[in-house]
Amino acid sequence: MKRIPVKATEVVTVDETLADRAPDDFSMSIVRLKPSAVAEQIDVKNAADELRQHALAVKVLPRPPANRLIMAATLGHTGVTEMPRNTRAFVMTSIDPGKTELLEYVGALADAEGL
Amino acid sequence: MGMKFLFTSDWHLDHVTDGHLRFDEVSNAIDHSLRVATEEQVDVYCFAGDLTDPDGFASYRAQAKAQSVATELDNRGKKSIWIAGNHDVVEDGFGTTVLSSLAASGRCKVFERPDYLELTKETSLIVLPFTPRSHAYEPAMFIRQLGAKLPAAKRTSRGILVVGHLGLNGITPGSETNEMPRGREVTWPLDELTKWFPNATLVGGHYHKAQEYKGVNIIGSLARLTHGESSHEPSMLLLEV
Repeated sequence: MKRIPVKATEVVTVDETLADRAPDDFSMSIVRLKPSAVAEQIDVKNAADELRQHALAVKVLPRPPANRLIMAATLGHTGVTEMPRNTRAFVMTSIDPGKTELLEYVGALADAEGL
Repeated sequence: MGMKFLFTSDWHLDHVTDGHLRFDEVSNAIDHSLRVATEEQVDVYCFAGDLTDPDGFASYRAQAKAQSVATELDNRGKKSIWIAGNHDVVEDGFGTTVLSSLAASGRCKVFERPDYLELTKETSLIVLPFTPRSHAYEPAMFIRQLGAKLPAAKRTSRGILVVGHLGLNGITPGSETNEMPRGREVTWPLDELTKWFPNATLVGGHYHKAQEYKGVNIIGSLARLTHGESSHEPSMLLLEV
């Protein structure tokens, strides 16, 4: 008998404690960051580019689970169809453990934004 | 000679997490399972229940996906079996489930009722699906009657595989119970199975967390569907019987 892990990247869940800590007017949702591209392990850079395009400010939150990436983003780009303009959102996607580029990229972006 | 099975369950292709349809991601996971079925040269692909709720518009796309999977497997010469779960029943009084159209296609074997099937001389299948109220059955009685009917050599063989989509008394409830409940509680007849089919291999759907509980190998869902499932490791189960 063998259990075979699913090879798919999902937009999964949000640390629920974040919702409790957020202000009342804080709109919470999940936004896709090209999860399929990450899943296929072909286009992490493009996922990062998309993030850069859509996020005005990005903050990497503490406690990322082992192979997941949690970010809070302030979005102000009409290209993000899931979110109303200027709505802040928690964004989360999962990446494969070996794919650290996106996490590093977001970290660098956060530094650049002074977050 | 044994048969190789690949199990997946609890696709919930209609599920929405925080406003986002999960169809694409689960669909990718299903496609992955089809690649595994080919790579591992499995004899039978088994879906152990909970394709979609029947009530929403998303159920049509979910049923189409199931059709495409069954068709692809059939084209490759592989058997596929599909078992109704508690989310799949329609409750129209006719015993319909969301798998009924799949059954009508004739390209796979669909179980909407409890059944016993000899796949080969050595390998047999007992199926315990979740059924609509109009076609309810008592799992313990079904196992008792089946056990009394079969010769001892057959029912005590290691070639018996029992696949069900039922509850387990005492198991820690997960999101399938707390956040995504549907239907009444119908439980595995573990005492009767131990008595009549002591060497059977038990495999179950319904619970979203892959685990083993009281001898039942829970397959688990193909994706983390709710906040409560963030610690789950979605997987499929490969088994030789």
